Amino acid sequence: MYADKRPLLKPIILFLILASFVLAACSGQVPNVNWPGLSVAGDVVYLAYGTEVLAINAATQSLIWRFPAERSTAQYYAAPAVDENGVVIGDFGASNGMFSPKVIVHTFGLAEQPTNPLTVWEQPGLATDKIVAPPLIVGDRVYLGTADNQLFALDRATGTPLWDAPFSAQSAIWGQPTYADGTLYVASLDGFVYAIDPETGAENGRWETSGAIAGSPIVVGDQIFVGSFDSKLHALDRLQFGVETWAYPTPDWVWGAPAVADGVVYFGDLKGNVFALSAADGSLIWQKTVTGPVQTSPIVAENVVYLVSQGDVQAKTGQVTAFSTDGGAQLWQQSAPASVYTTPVIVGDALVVALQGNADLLLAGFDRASGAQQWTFSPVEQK
Amino acid sequence: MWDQFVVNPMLNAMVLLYDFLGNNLLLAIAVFTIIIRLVTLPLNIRQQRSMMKTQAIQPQIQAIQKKYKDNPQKMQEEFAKIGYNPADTLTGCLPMIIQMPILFGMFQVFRIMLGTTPQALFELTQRVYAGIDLSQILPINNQFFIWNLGQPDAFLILPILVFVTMFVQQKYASPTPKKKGDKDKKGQEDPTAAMTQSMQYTMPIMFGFFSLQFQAGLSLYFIFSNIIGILQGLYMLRIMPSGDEVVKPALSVAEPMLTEKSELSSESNGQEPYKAKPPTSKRKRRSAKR
Repeated sequence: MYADKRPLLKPIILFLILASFVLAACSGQVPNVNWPGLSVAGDVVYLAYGTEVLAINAATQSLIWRFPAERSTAQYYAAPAVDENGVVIGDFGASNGMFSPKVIVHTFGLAEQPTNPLTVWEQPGLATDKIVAPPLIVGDRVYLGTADNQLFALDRATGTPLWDAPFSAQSAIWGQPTYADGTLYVASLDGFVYAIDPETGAENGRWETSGAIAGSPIVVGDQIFVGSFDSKLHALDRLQFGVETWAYPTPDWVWGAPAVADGVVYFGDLKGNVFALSAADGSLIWQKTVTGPVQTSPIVAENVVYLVSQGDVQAKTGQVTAFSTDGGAQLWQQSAPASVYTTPVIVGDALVVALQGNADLLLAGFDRASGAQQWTFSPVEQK
Repeated sequence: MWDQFVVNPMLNAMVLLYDFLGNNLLLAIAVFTIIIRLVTLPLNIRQQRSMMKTQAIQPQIQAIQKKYKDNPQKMQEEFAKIGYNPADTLTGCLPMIIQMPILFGMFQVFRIMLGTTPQALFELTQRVYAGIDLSQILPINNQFFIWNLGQPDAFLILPILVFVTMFVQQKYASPTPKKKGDKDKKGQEDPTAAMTQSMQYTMPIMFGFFSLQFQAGLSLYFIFSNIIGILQGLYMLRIMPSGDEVVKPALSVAEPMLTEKSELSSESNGQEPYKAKPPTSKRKRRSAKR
């Protein structure tokens, strides 16, 4: 009857809302909240993406192991740190269920085995927010920046925190710390580059840009190079920390860390510009453009600069471009089979890119010489 | 379309408010909630007025339904005589339907603005309108008191506040129904009363559960929205004429029929037959005419 229409309509709407949330939560597919993290050691690439970390032999495109063995709600996006003892990874944190919403962030030290890796140590609750920055392994220590503004030093073998208290920045640390000559350099979204004593975690100095810093500071010789959301690439004097050598203004934010090779600094901005500057004085050597914003770091090898950009947003295909370091001539340009937002790695003759947005494709390998796509890696085929 | 017309305008409004209000996210959420509430205010008032009016003439509606259940045309005519249009019940739900996209949009706005992941920030850069300088407001300070507004509330305080404020708001937003167990003389429960009362518990419980899972910033939005809803409900109760007054002019048309068939109202709900009071002021008379 008419009078019943209102009471029926509301519960139906409520049911649909509830159902959509329940279905979203129970479908078994946890939506990815960040782009993949990718690192390399020899022929093996380590991919942190969503609920798993995968070790993949890029030469044979075969899966070596996946972690964790049983899926949980924790998600991994920070590029794993790798040394001869294994892999260090951090997660984005997960709650213990509906009635315990406190997010607990884990860090793991894994020893590699022929099949699934062995968890050597597990460090829960160090941080209260995500681990976005790739951990840095230096000797017997692991340095770990977190999204709750902290920097930890952990024992590589046991995961035990080594400093009396973690170093605290004023905002999230998304970039991997850099170690050079007995000093740690770390940048934060608060816009500062910090110089830290790696033994104690004490701050030795700080230098401020007028924008947030999402990438890592890169140390080469006596200089520190860092890109900032103030739309500049800054060069600092490492020996006189706090003194800016030069700054190069760009049309948009500089997100990714620069790459430095043979006295030239290479980087991109969010307008899709690619720059090559003299490391000595910041003068422009060449400038090119690619399709879509560049928020990754370039890779330089054998006189070639490899770079990925957002590419075609509608088609969801990232763009992979190779420039000659000599004059910036474009050597080749290819569309990736899916979106690409992660700095690529080099494995032998292949440029390996991590793909996003296509559950069936995680990696693609491009011939470094010709740019031809040689292979893709699908997790489905490896199950 | 969804992003262009719903998410992006809301996101940009939030970013602008955050900027104008001294990078205070809490204030930005509060002011944003007020704006959303103001935008939907006419619809909310219409919904509440419609609910009150329907509630007031519910005995007559039920009586007519019962009497003319085999004659829909006659039922419509009788409904018209008491000033009741069944289509209004659907129109009354319009605010709720319109608020659904806002609610879903808010989920996305908070995910992007408070997501605290590189991907969320990158998405933000691509959604802000030209002229907004994001670099001046980053990083967005998502700490408020003990809460990280980008994460679920680990202390369970905000989900409880969401439940309490929404429960109180439901109490004020809905006209007081008869108790769920109340029955008429024939032993039948009033379905509207039962449904309204179940809604008063269902909605707060549901949103309380949601708040356990979603960012604390979204819980704050719910709480602010509920508080404004409570104030609005209290105001409506003050300015709206009583149910009797609302239906008086309409019922005066149907009165001969109801008087003639006085058993309609008295039998159906066990109450005294309807006795209308005259409106007491110009404003109330205008309201009654509406």
